[in-house]
Parts: sequence; structure tokens; C-alpha cells
Amino acid sequence: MKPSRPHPLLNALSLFLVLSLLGGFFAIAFQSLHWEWRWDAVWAYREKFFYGWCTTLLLGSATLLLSIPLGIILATGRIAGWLPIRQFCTLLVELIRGTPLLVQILVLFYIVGSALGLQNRLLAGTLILTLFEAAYFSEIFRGAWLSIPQSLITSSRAIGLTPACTFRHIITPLGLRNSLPALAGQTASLLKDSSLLSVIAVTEVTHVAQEINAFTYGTLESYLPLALAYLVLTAPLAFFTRRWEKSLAYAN
Amino acid sequence: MQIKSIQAGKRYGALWAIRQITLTLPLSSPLLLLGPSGGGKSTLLRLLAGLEIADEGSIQVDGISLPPDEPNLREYRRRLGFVFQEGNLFPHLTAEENITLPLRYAHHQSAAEAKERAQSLLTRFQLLPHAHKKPAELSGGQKQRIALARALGHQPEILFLDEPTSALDPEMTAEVLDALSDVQQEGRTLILATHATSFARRTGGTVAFLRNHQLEWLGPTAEFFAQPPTPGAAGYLARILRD
Repeated sequence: MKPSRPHPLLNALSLFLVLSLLGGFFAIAFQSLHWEWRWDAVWAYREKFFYGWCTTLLLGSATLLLSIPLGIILATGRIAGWLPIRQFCTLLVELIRGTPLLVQILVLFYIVGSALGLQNRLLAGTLILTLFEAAYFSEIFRGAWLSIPQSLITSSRAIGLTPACTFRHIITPLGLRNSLPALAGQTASLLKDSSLLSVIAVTEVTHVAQEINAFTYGTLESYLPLALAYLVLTAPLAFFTRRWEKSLAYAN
Repeated sequence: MQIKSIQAGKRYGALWAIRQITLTLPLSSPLLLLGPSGGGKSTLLRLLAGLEIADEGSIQVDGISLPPDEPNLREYRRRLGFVFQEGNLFPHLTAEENITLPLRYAHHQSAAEAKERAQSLLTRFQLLPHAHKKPAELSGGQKQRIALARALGHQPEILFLDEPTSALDPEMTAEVLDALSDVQQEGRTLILATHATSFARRTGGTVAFLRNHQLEWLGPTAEFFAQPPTPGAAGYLARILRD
């Protein structure tokens, strides 16, 4: 059920209250820490930080572009595939979803990556993250696909559409609409998951923040901007998805 | 196109939905499939329309057995129209797009051609003001008339209807049946499963009475209603006419 839309004035007032409560809580917490802020030391590394942020953005975009098609392939394999293919896709998805990303990064980079002679850390990191996110995307697609009523598929057969046409004109638009919130959530997760690639020294923004911390001992001055750097990417994502959702909406 | 003979059975798991039904057509249109729910009407309709494949026997259309493979069955289905009980309009498309979708992607018409055809069908069923509404904004009767328009878009050789009014209230039922009478008058072959006896009585044609997964009686509609031919038919008519 959707909550009703409040009056704009009430909305603003309530938001102000929530923000000041949260802000007040953190202000008190930081006060009690007696932290000596030293922004000037960190400021010197701003270009490096920005470079890391761009790497995260690039890495995240490439992963998103690669993992969505791979997720569709895995979901298709699990739903429609020939038995060995179905087993392979199921096993792969469950293995990836059932183990920590950190372990996958280490194993795939230091064991599989070295065996294949893959030394470029950024490329290796993108591929590992792609595999991980594709497993999650595939489950979202599979759920969306299975949520489409059988009567519509029958209807589509009755009017003489081919399976490919049904997929394009019926399953994709209806499934996309159903899975949009989950897809947006997974995309935000993807951006944050990329921070774990710092363990194989991919110079994404988290790795850079760790370095700045090591150089300056400005822990909070390194990590608070890091949180902000991720928020700058994830907040618009949530905002635009909500608008997109509204534009696709139809009552059931 | 003529459905020449049907001799078929269909089962779901261990349960036979219909058992060795033998029908020989042509019969005068419309062919009305009557009988209690669960008696095999829908299954027979789906077999005839190529939506299901018979587990035994065969169905001959124009002297050729219905193909057992999906691509050829799809070609066969493209010559037919089908209206379901409910819920068969695509919820993300407008009324007009629901009608143009098969014309464009199953019958390879241009966007302009399909739109023109959709507009003329919408006009015919007094639905033009609703052309740009999604199914959720339409009444049950309007939705069924759009489903009817969609099924007629490509001038099907036979129109199949599976209890098209069973989910509707009396007023909407009348709306849909009027549209259907109109379609019947243009001489199109109709095959419909229905409980709407007053409509069935009016249309004439042939009754196939199905009960307990078998064809119990086949003959002229007038005869069926004048004197229920079997005890099963008498019981069925008594039950549905009581309501």
C-alpha cells in the first residue's frame, strides 16, 4: 500500500525535524570524540581523490553495462535452458551468491587471473565484479520473468507472436517495470561493492582514501568525503529511478 | 478454412481433460460448446485453436493434420482469432496498441496500416474515445470488446471465444454479446464456449454438449434447447436457467 501524499508544508517541516535530529545526533557524537580536524593535509590530495572517484565511476559503469546482459543470459539459462546449461547456471549463481565477494576477488585474481596471465588490475577487477553482480541481476530478472502472468503469455501465443517478439514486447516491458526498484538497488550496491576491489590495489576511490589516510593520518578527513563520493553517485540513481518508475506505472 | 475432423484426447498429468472426442465439421456456424465447467470445453477450444497439442488422435484442418511443432502451429494460429475469458489484454499497452501489436508483429503491417485498422475497429465497437486508455482504466465490458477487436484485426478465418462473458455483470455481458452478434452477422465462423444460453438460443448454429470429458451430444442448437437430448443436458440446462 502507498502512503498518501502529505501537504508540502507538513512535508518540509517533517523533513527539517528528521534532518535536525539525525544531524544533532552525529554532531554530539563527533563532539565527544574531540577530533582535531586537519582538512588542509587531506586537501593536498584532492586531485588524486577525484581521479579515484572517476575510476570508480568508470569501473561501475563498465560493470553495469557488462553484468546486465550476462545476468539476462544466466536467467535465461536457468529458466529455459537445456538441463546441463540450467545446472551450470544455477550452480554458478548459487556459488557466487553464497560466498563473500572478498574471497571471490582474491581467488579469481591471484589464482584464476594469474593462471590466465591477466595482470591488468582494473580490467581484472571489472571482470570479477561483473561476474558477481551478474549473479544478483540474474535473480532479479528471473523473478521478474516468473512474475508475468501465464495468461499474458498464452494471449501472446494466441495472437501469433513468436517467442522473440513476446520477449521484446511483453516480457521485457512488464518485467522491467516490476523489477525496476530491485535493479536500482542492485546498481547502488554494485557501486559500493566496487570498493572491495581495493584489496587487489585497483586505484578506485576507496583505495585512494586508504592511501590518503596512510599519508596524512586524517582518518575521518579521508573517509567522510569517501562516503560523500559514493552518495553523489547513488542518490541521483534513486531519484531518477523513482521518476522512471512513475512514468512506466500502470494500475494493476 | 474448414475444420474437417477432430478425433483427439488431451490430458494434464494423469487426468484426461477430454477423452477421444470425435467431431466432424463443417457444421453451420456458430459452433457452441456447452456443458458444465470442467467438462472439457476450454480444452477442446484450445486444441482446435492450436494453443495445445493433442496427446492422442488428430485434428484436421483443410484436410491437413494440425502440425505438432510450434512454428507451424503459430502460422496456423495467425489465421485465427481468440478471445479469452478475461485478463488477456496487455496491461502496459493502450487499447489501440493492444490491437496494433499483432497486426504489426505477427502480420507485418506498417504502423500506419495497423493504426488505421485499429481505429476502424474501435469506431465499430464505439470505443474510439478510449483508444489511448490502458486496460486498467476500462470497464470489463470495454476490455472484452477491445479483446474482440484485437482478435478481428487480421480478418481471422475462424473466431474462437472461451467464455467471453463469464467474468462480466449482466449489463456488460449484453454489451459484449451485442458486439458478438454484429460480428456473427458479417458471416464469420465462430466457435465459442459459453454459458450465455439466451445468446446461444438466438444465434442458432450447432451445439456440441460436453460433459465428463466427452462429447455427449452434437446437433442443431434449436433442437438442443427445444428438447434437451440427454439427461445430462437436461440437468445442465435446469441448473443454469435457474439462475
